[in-house]
Amino acid sequence: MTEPSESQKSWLGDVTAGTLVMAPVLMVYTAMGIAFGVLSIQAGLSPLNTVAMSLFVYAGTAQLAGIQLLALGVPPVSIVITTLVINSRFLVMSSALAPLVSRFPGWQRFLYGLEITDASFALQIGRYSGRPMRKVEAFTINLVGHVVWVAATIAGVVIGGTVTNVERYGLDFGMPAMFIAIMVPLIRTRVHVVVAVTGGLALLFYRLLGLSYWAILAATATAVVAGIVMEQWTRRRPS
Amino acid sequence: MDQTTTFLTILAMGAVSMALKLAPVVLLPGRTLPHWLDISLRHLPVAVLSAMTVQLLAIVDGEINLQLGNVALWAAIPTVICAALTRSLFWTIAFGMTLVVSLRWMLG
Repeated sequence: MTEPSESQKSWLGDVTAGTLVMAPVLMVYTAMGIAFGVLSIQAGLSPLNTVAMSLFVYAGTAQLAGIQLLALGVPPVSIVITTLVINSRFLVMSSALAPLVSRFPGWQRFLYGLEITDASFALQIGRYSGRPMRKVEAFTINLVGHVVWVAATIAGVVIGGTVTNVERYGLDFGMPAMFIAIMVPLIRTRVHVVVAVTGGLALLFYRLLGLSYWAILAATATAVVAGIVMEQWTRRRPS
Repeated sequence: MDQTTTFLTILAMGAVSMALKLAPVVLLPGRTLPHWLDISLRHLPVAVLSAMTVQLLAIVDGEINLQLGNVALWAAIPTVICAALTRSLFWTIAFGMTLVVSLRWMLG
């Protein structure tokens, strides 16, 4: 038996750390993945297509909207455009993550980018701002997330016919609870409070105006602008 | 819609999602971002998470629902308090989901 080398130890340490950081999110992915699998089968998608969606699209909100639209027989072009609108937020998240991975070779940035989700973005932007990204840890976070998401979808497909109402199990609250859990610790100043409150209120406002899927992006932009304005204002009059 | 058309639609949805996730991380590094974009990105996580949370909680079947009967929406308030106190992903999610299940069970 040879002792594991230093690099092997740190490699293992990063895999363990990444998995542990991700564990609560995996719990939500399991709940949401099962719920998605069940709903997709009930909406009339084949098991193969349901799993393909979790494999290729890998974005909860867009997938749930997708199965509803597919079930309604909406033309594919409209479904793809809706996906583009719902997922447009990833363009912004990916831009925020870009500086963290700027030293990775191109193919690693490619693999990293494929795995961006709301949760992985929020977790990693908090974890790696101000200190260098641990590559193995970050890739572990990404990989276990996707594997569990697909595995949970398969579980949902298997039990698809037997569950009638996923809401009864609180599965629908998993995603918002996860967003709250990730967001609240990021709120550290009064400016952040303003951004959070504006984001929520703006979403309701844009929905009232009749926007549907664009509302998320419009509300995000409004909250960001509110944050910048508030920042300028507090800088001029220190409290 | 038959399953083959559905499959092709899913592939196109996947291509669009991947392109949106990939373009900045693949293309941006090495370029300097304009200052306004740089400061905007700092507020982005809170802004997008807040908008997504409200979207998930307050929009039911495509309509705004702020009524008392929308259990998940009101359960979000104690969940936010729990998140502020514990700062723990695990406890916040566990507390929130247990709360929603219990409330729904109590309210029948």
